[in-house]
Amino acid sequence: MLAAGRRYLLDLFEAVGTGWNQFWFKPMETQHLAVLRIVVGLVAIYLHATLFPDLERLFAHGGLLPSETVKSLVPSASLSYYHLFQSATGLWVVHGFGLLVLILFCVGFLTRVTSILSLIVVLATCHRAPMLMTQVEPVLCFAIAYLCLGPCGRVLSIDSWRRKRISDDECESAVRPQRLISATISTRLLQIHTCLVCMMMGITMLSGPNATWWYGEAIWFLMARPESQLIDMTWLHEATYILNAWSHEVVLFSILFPILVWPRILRPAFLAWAIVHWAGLAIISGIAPFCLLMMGLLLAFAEPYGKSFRSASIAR
Amino acid sequence: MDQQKLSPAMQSTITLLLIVHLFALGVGVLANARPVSPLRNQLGDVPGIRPYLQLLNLDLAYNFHLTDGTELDIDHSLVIDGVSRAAESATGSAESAESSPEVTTIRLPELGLEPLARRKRYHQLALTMMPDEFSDPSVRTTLLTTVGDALLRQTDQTPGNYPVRIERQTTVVRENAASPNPEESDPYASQRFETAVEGTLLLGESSTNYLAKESKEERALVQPQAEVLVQPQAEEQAGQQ
Repeated sequence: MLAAGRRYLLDLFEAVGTGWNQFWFKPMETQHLAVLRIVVGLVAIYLHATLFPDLERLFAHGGLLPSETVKSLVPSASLSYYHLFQSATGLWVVHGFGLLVLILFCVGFLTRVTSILSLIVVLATCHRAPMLMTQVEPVLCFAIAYLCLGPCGRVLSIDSWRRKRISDDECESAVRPQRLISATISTRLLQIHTCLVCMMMGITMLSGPNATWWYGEAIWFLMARPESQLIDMTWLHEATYILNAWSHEVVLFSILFPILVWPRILRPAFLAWAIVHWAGLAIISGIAPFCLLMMGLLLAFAEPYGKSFRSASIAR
Repeated sequence: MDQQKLSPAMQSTITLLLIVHLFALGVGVLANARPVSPLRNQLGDVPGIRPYLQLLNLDLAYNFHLTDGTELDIDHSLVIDGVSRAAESATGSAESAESSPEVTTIRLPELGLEPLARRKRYHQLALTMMPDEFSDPSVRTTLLTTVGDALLRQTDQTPGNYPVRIERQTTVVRENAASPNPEESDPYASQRFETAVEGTLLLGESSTNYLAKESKEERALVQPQAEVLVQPQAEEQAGQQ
């Protein structure tokens, strides 16, 4: 009995170890990270650019959120270089430099450097004014952080274009490995974190005090806020079953996606569902950048899916 | 890591770092998801975890419920009344504009502010000043005073008392969405705008104080200043008379 238990534990540890190595260290292709870099970069650029009109009003001398007050209210807010600039000119210059960094990251110029700088820019903005942050900033932070770890500028970037131009030997690019372990680590972290966000959203929706998501009325509450909608969908007010179904779909997706997106056979179906899900929420919720970012993070599950699925089918 | 195979030592190191990171992530979620148990609260005190999470803006539970139909799930704005703005005269004369200032309201965000991202930021700012069971009242009061003071000084207001409130725009009830009565169906009808928090900003030459309208407990949160001490005593004497 003892020997059987010992044998089981040894088999378990071996299986976990093998599975862990397979999950984290099997080299992966990099195209999906490059596309994700572009999506994340565009969202970051949009958010950063929309802060320009309010920069002086918020952060300059006599602004709504003076540096000392913010630092006293939120201790972690001191981790921002914006506190060093309180003149209008200084703020515009540093914010403009941040925008330039984000643009360079998006187009994939010196990606290894600009990815880290982009993370610093986004974190500095978040830390300077945590009371302005909505749902999109926390997701943007981890997306950029994980992209820093992976070769997100290897393809679809200015870096790859420059590499091809200066390479005398066209065969060299064929010899360079296309599958990399860093791509795997970056992708897995993005996958896990995305699933975590979805799961927590679903759990929070189900445990709300008013049970609005259970009653199927939540979607109406979202779409009926005129200052938060992209498109007015309140003409659906009489379509009770549609509103109920949509509310239940949001919760169902949030609960099922983190679990059922992992089996490869189900992945294309869930990714297609996810695109429709986030597009619908973007229209009514007023958090279109967040929904676009979550849609972009689906690319972490796209991987080299097409090739591996076909190979698996052929192997069977 | 930009290679196809790692040495066992490198693999072990990366594994350890991944485990630490994933553990920190879990702690961030468990320690911030409300309501919180004492055990989960203690997890947040594991040395090094909180600073790491705060540095990377990961110290949160990702409990984005989007809405639960509660009062805190609708759009909030900060409104200051009794603000003077120079009225535009027919002749465009500066003298006539100064002699007839228009009394108006500052609203943050302004209705219809574009793009939507800007509007959402200010909604979030106003929401941060709303009382809820998890927030610190002194933090809310400080924030409201600071923002109100800045808004008044940016618009060159003279020292005085300015009514301030946090207003929320309630949603139209679904059954009334097609009602012929605009008071019921118009999302911008006056009855849609509900005051959640009310008080007075006491704008001085160099400082500002906030006097909440309601209870003595809320008044106790206001830091006593010379200008403020005069006002409550005067109100008590008026009440006794």
